[in-house]
Amino acid sequence: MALKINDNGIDRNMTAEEEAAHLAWAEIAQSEAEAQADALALKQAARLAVLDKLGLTADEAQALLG
Amino acid sequence: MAYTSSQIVQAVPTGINSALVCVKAETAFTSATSVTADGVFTSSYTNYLVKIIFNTSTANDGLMKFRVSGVATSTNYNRQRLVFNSTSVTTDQLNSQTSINLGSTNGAFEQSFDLNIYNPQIATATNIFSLNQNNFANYTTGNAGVIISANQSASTAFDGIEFSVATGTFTGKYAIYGYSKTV
Repeated sequence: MALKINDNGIDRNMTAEEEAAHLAWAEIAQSEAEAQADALALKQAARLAVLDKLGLTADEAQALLG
Repeated sequence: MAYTSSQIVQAVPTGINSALVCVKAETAFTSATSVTADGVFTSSYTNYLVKIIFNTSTANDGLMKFRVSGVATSTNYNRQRLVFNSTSVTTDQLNSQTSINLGSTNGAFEQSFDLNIYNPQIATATNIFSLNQNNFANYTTGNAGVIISANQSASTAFDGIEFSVATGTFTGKYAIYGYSKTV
């Protein structure tokens, strides 16, 4: 099934060329989103490691910091 | 009592002295992968406001790019983001991206954006400041705010904008306004 585009207000199917370009870019965009998610996960892990050193749970830290 | 001519209240024509002038009428889209608006940024206005509301077919990110003469630009996007949900606050930065990631949404729950765009039609860096309202998975505890500071750093004059999703589809509506340059 062809991908749909709202082209300046008009709904239509993408042309084969448009669809190929979109899919190629979408693959890169997904890689970018995954890299972002990984970076956030690392950040969260670092935060939890610090809390662990302090002997606090995440909930206790939230209560402390408001 | 009779009124003199100077006391007669006259109707002001629509659009005169408006702070915001609609340059792209509200446009609905359904199950689309991409949404384009070309020829909307002109020398008539320096700054613009885009209001867009949408939900996606799957949990996915909303993405935006600028366009020139009907062709999307897929380089030089940089974004700083602040997300606040319940008692959690997170920040992150993405540089040299192929689009601006406006944030994730979750299927049935709509998210709403106010995108302020500065100087898009001038051949200099284009800045964006966006305030987003998200609903991650529900309308109660999923309620989250997102603030985005972003830019397209090339010295390019853009005349259009494109919204898209990398997977699945999205359904919603948008309108674009120009900020008046005169009083």
